[in-house]
Amino acid sequence: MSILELRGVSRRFGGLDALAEVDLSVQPGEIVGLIGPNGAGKTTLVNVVTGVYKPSSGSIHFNGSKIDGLKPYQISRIGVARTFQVVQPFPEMSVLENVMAPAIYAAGLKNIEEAREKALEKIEFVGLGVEVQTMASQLTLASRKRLELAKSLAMNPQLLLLDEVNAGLNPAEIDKALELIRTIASSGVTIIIIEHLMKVVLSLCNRIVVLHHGALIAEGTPKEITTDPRVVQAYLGSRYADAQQGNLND
Amino acid sequence: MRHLLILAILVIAMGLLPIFASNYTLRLGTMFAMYAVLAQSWNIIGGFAGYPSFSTAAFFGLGAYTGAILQTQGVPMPIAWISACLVVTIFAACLGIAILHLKGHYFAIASLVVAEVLLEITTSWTDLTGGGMGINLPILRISIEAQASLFYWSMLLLALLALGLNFWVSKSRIGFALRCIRQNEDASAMVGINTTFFKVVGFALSAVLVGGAGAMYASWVFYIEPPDVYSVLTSVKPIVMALLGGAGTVFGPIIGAAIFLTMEEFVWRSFLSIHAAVLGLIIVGLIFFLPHGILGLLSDIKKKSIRKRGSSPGVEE
Amino acid sequence: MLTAQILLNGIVLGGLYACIAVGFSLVWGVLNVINILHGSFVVLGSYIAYFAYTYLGIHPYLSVPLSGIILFFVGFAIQRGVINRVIAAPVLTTLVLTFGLELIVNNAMIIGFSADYLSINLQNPLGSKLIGGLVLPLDRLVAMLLAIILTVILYYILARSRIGRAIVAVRMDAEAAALMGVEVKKIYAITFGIGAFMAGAAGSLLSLVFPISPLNGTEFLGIAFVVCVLGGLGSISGAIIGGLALGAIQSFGALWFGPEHGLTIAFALLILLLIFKPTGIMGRKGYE
Repeated sequence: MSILELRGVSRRFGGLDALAEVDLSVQPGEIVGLIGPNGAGKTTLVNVVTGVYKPSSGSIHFNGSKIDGLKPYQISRIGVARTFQVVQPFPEMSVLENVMAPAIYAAGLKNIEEAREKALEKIEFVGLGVEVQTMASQLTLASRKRLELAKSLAMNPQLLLLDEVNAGLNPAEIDKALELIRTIASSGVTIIIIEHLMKVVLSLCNRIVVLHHGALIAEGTPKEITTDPRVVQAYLGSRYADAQQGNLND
Repeated sequence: MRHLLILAILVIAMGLLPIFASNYTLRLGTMFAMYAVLAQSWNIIGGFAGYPSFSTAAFFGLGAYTGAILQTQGVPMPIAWISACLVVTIFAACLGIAILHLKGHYFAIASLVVAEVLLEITTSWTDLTGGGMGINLPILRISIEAQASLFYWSMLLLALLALGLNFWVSKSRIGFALRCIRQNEDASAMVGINTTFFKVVGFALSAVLVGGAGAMYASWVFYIEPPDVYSVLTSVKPIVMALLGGAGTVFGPIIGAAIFLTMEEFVWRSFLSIHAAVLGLIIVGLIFFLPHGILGLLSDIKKKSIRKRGSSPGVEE
Repeated sequence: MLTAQILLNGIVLGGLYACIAVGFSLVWGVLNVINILHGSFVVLGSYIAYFAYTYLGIHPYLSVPLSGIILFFVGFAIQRGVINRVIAAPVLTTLVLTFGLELIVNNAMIIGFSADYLSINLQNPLGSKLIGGLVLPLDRLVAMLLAIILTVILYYILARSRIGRAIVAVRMDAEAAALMGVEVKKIYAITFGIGAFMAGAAGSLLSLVFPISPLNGTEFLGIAFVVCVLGGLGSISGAIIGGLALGAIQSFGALWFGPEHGLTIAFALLILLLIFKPTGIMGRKGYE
C-alpha cells in the first residue's frame, strides 16, 4: 500500500490553477524529489498535503485513509511532518523548548521528562547539541534549518516533506544536510524533498517528480528525467541536458 | 521558593488587614483585589496568548448583571457569584469561537464592541434588567464593618485564585501552547497544536473569574446600571495594569494593579476634574518609557549586568 | 413613498458618515493605526464651526477649510510627536496609546467647552423643499454633497498628486517606498494630518445635524469603525459605499426598532460582519 496518494488533486486560487489534476503515489521508504520551475506548484502541493489548503478537487490518502480536509494540527499528529522554505521557529523560546513543542503536541508525549528526552535526542541527531539553550532568534540560518529538521523529527513522522532545506546554505553545509537526510531515510522515514539543486536531487532521490504550471509532467528515475524531452524543455534547459548526457556517458 | 515565602507572608498580612484597618482602607484593599483579578485574568489571553482582548468589560458587566438578577430573585449571594462565573465562562467560550479567528485590530475591535452591544441589550431589556434605571440588590443584614470585611476577603480570595490560575497556566500544556501561538501561530498548528481549542480555552479562562468579580462588585455596591459595569475603561484599565507590571509574566499584572490603584487614588483625591487626562498621561508615559512593564525592565537590567560581568549564558553545556 | 423618504434620509446621513470615516480608513490603511482620537477630531471640527459662526458669522459650510486646516496641524503634531515613536509596535500598544491620548483630549475638551450640548441655529436656514412627495432637508443635503465632494477631492489627491502617490506607495509597502527615497515617517505624519483634516471638515458639516459635545466623540468613532468594516478598509470608494450603506441601514432600523437604537444596530452589524465577512462589501482586505 502506498504511504501517500494524491488522486486528481487540483487547487485553484481565483483564476489560477496552482495544482492541476495531480496524480501521485509514493511508496514507503522512497526518497522522492519534487522539482519544477518557480511557481510550478511544489510548495502548494506540500501545503495541500499538510492541510494548510484544502484541494479544490480530488483526494489525498495517507496509509489508505483520506486526509484532505483535515486541519494541519491533525495531520501532524498522524505522522506527516514538513519543514518550511522560510523557517518558522518560535523566536523567543530556546532550541530545546522549540523541539519539545512538537514532541508534546504532535507526538503526544504527556510526560514533560519524556518530551525533553525526545527533544534532546533529536537536537543531538541534527548536530545542534551545543545550542540547546540558545534562543531561536539568535541562531544562524544553517542552525535554524537544522532546528526545523529537529522539530519535524520530534513528531515521529512516517512521511517527511522537506521544502528547500538547502536554500541559503553553503556547499559544506549542504553536504552535512544530505548526510542527515540519508540517515533519516535509512531509519524508514519516507521523504519527499523539494529542491532546486540538481546535484542534491540526482544523488539523493530514487525517484523524481516534475511539476510545471501545477501539472505533473514527468516522473521517473534521475536518468529518465534528465533525458526526458518535456522536462528538458520546461526546466532543465538543453545545455544542462547535454552536459549531463556527457557525464553519464563517461 | 523564596518567592513563595514572600507571597505567603503578603497573603497572611493582607488577610489580617480587616482587624486593624479602617473601612476606607478596606475599600481600597477590595478595589486592589478586584483590579488584580481583572488584570491577571486578561493576562491569560492578552499576555500569554498575545491576543489584544478588550472584552473584560463585557465579562464584568455580564457577571454583574447575572449575579444581581439572581440575587433579586432570592438566590443566596455565593450561589449567585458562582453562577455568574459559569454564565460568563459559557458566554466567553461561544464568543471566542466566533471571534478568535480574527487577528490584530479586527479581534480587538470585535472584543470591544461586544460590551457595547451587551450594554444596549441590557438597557433595552427593562423587564429583566431594570433597563437604564439599574438594579437594586437586596441589603445584607450585617453591620457595615462586617460587610466591608466580607467583601474584602471574598475579592482577596478571587485575586488569589486569579494568581494561582496564572501560575498553573504558565506551567501547563495550555500555557506552553498559548506561548507558541503568540510567537508563531502558523508554526504552532504545524507542530500539532490545536490552536482554536487552546485559544478558546484561554479566552474562557480569562473570563471565568472576571464574571465572579462583576457579581461580587454588584453585591458590594448594592446598585448597578449599564454604563457603570459595561464601561470601556473596565476593558482598558486591566490592560494598562498588566502592561505596567509586565504582560506575559505571572506576577506582573498584580504588581501593575497595585501601582495603578495607588496612582488612581492619589489622582482622584488631588485632580478630580482632570483625572481622565492624568490617566491618559500615565498611559502615554507607560508606552514610551516602560514598554515591557516593570518586571520586563528588571529582567532587562539583570540581563545587562550578566553581560557586563563577562559570562555569556548557554556556552557552558 | 415612506420607503423612498427613509432611503433618502439614509443616503443624506450616509454621505456625512462617509466623510467621517474616510480619514479614519486612510490612517488605518496606511499606518496600521486605529486612531481612537478620530471621534474627538470630528467634535473639535464641530466646535470650530460653532465658534466661527457665533463670533465671526461664518456659515459652518464655509468654515470647513478652517476646521480642516486646524485639525490637520493638530493631527500632524500628534503623529510626529507621539505616535511616530511607536509606529512599529504591536496592535495592543498603538491602540492603548491612542486611547490614552483620547482620554487627554476628551478631558481637555470637557474642561474647555463643558460637556453641555451646543447647537448652531442658523439665521437664514435653507429649510426644506417638497419635491415629488419627498421632503428634502436642504441644509443637510448641501452638507452631504459637500461631504461627497471633499471625499472625491481626496481621492484625486491620492491618485494624482506626488504626495498622494507617496502615501499609496507607503500603504502598499513601506520598506520598498523607503528604498525609493520616500520619507516614510513624514508621510505617516502627513497622512495622519489628512485624516484629521477630513475629520475636522466632517465636524463642520455635521455641526448642523448633530448636537455638539465632547460626549459625542465615541459615537463618531463607532460610525467610522462600522463604515470601514462594512465598506472595506483602505479605499475611498469603500468608505463611500460603507457610509451610504450604514446610513440606509440605520434609517430603516430607526423605523423598525426606534431611533434610539441607531448605534446598537451599527455595532451589532459590525460584530456580524467581523465574524462572517471582515473584508466588507467591497472585499478589499485591509491590514490585520
